[in-house]
Amino acid sequence: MPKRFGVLLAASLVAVLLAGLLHPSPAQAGPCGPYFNGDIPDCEPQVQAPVSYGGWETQGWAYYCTGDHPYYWGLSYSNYAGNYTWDNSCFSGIQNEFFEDQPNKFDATFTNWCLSTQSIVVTLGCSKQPPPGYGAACSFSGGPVGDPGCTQSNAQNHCSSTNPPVCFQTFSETCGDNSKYTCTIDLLVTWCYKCD
Amino acid sequence: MQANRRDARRNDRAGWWCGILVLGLALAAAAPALAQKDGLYDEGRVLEHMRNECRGTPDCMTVESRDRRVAVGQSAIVRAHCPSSHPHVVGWDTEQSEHLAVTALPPKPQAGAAPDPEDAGSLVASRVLVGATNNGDKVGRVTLFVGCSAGVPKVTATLRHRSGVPSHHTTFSGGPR
Repeated sequence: MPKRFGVLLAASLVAVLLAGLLHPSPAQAGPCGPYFNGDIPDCEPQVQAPVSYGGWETQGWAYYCTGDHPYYWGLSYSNYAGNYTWDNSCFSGIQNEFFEDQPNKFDATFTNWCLSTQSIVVTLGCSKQPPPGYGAACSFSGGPVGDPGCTQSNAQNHCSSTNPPVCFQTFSETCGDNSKYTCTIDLLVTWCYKCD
Repeated sequence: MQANRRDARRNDRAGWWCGILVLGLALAAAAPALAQKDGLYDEGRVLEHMRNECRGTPDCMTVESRDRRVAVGQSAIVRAHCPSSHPHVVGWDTEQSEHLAVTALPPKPQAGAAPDPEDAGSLVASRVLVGATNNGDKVGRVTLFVGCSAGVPKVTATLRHRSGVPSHHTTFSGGPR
């Protein structure tokens, strides 16, 4: 009886190992949280176009946040890991932090461990607010406000390497009462955060 | 007492036969893997063209490069251009051997111009440039497919790399070869 139990236990362990190997689970948290260090502020999920993979195949992709939520709080610019999800349990994914050289870029390598062709849809957690390590012109604690229309300075363009590039611009504004703002403009929409 | 000993011997014999049967089944299951030659890759497997070069972009046409052979231990550069009627690159895809690793290359800087550090994704203007490296023991082949559109596409993702999981790396028992 104990021998038979041992064989059954071993078979079960092999089955569990195989299931883990062939069907790794996708990230459990949503793309905007919750995380142990809090949710990503002013965040929205951005669903990317589906991509097809053959069986047992690996592809590396760069995805970009865009629109009025252009910032990806990746590992390069924040302590948030895993603010992305995917919809197919055939896949495992690894984030490539060192390729995330723009504040709107998410870079990862995905592998389809199933034997058949599979499609994957990746969703990014994209924020209105620049990530803390990005080097915004100032620190701020309030939410986004419209363009105060004051004197602009320190304008910088940020573009992806896609064709056409995904771009946005950041700049500072200083008003007459000496209040300062750090601002972003993307697709002709401007929003700012008031400096503390 | 004697009957108990006889039962115990019978049980021992049954246990041995059971063990031999399990061993035989395990050997039978491992036979195909053991019969394979050394090497991580199945050089006969082809990663099919998955049609990821257009991904839903309207008015997107596919341009195909020539079939390129890559010798063992060598790398080759493969390129394809969009036509003037559809000058904008949308994306790229390949059909390739499992043992090739294909990676998007940054474009060559123009003579006298410094390389643009922002332009690291290889999708520039109307062409795509990729590098294919042969990691296996036989000649491999790759064909590049480029998606081209007439209008400026809305692209928020680019393929950087494509390769196959080595078929001989794991057996179906999950262990390394």
